Amino acid sequence: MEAALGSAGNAKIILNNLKQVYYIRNPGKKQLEEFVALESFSLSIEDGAFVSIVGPSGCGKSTLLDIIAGLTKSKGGSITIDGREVAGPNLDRGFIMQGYALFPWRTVLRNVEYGLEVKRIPKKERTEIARTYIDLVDLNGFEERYPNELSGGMRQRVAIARSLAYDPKVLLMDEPFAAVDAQTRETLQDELLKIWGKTKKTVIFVTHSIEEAVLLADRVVVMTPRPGRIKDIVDIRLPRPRFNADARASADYGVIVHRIWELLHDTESPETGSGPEGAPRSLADEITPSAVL
Amino acid sequence: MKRNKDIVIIEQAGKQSASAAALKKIFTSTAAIFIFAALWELAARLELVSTPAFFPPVSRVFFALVREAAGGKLWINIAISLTRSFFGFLLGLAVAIPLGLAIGWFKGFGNLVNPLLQVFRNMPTLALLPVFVMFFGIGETSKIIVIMWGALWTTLLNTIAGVRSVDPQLVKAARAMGTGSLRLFGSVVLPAALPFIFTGVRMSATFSILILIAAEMMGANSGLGYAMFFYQANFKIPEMYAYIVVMAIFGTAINFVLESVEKRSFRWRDESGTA
Repeated sequence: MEAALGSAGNAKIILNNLKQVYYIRNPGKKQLEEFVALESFSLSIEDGAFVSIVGPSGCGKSTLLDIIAGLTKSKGGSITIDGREVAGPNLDRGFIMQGYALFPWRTVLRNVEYGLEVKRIPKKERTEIARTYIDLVDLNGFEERYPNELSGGMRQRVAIARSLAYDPKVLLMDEPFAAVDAQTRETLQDELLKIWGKTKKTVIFVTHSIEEAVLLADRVVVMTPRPGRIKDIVDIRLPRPRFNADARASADYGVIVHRIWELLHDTESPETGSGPEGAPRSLADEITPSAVL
Repeated sequence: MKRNKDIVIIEQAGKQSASAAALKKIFTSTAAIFIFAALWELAARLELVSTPAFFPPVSRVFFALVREAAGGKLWINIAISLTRSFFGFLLGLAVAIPLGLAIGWFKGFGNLVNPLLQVFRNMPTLALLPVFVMFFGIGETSKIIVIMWGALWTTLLNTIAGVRSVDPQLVKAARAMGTGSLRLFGSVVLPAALPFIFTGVRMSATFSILILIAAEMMGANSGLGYAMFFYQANFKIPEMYAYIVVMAIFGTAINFVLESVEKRSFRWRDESGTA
């Protein structure tokens, strides 16, 4: 993680020594117990990069995103975006959640317009922008539908369009595709890559799935279980543009997935078997579970 | 009794012509009422009840109703009752909705007033009528106040429940977009609570009529409740029943209107709104 801090020259986001602590009251005990969710988390992310974060349940991944979004205050450390310290939520960051969180009483169009309303953009322009992004996520024709009339995959596209519409520089995605079926998930991944290629956003993507992390990201941050710290950062040098079909066919992809799998399973030396020539130990190891915990 | 008609019909309607389906719909939605009326008529004619004087056939009730309507008394009584319950109801909403929003939204305020609300809520509404009469006289004001009191509670409790049940994910999403408290309230909390509030309003409307009738029976010289009570006291039994029937129709009609408004307004609420 020291290496990650290094050249701050074109760093878009600098996370410096973040810490988060919760206090839990245990039955029978008078004193509150301290629960460290996140500790000495430092990371610098360059403009336009796609960073995935994987880690076991309860390692503080979602806590981390909440802090970056400005929704919760950290107990220590700082976040700077473009050199400015983050003080609270703002439209320079878009937040996309697993549960879509679309406003059910608003049509697709009006959902996508929401952030633009907060931004106080006049009605006519607002609609125009919203339509552009609805188009971008391939939902034209569905402008006047309500969320309950859409499938899970479509709802998540609306959520993505809603976050892109107000043009944030950074997209924070908290397991956005965890609730959709496997096929829809792959489609959404490909589309996200396409959209990312077009819009050049900086993306921080939290996921349970190693494969998803590897497919999407330039770098995968692997976290330890509580307290959540960075265990390792793996550079993904697979060629761009990437698609599910190509990436999954490449040998490097399997090797990287396997290496991260080992990291997550607390194998002591992360270097063994990481090179392309390092033969996988067994077929069972090769078949990586798509969601670890 | 009055609203289960839509459920069955739709699936059968496919094969039949539209007019046949419509006829069948009308038949199913009214059959039970006609059968009930027929049994009533029969039971009264055959004098199956030990005191036939208290149990006139439905046809006589119907003619009594026609007489009341033709004489104009019915309409005057309806107008008077409608005005009272309407103002009491509106006043109740004017108190219940803002108060409910405040209690639901501000936790501290909610905790503070909740014990008081529990005590007030469990006071029998009509027991308060004498109190209101002392303060506001026997005129319209005391009746409107007691209707307000009776109508208030369901809307209040539903409003509180509505505000408190807002999906936290939606609040989070809105806050992540930099939404301030005021906009959060107006653009997320209020619309999310609206269906709950409306259900409360509909129930309050029903209550406002029930309370109205009782209040009119206890002390009034006009209105549906008074008329019913008057005819009972003067032993004009068919007329008494006629007014009971009118009250039932009155309540059903208001509920029907509000239910259709509700259905139309919350199209987005069919199935699960959020994931």
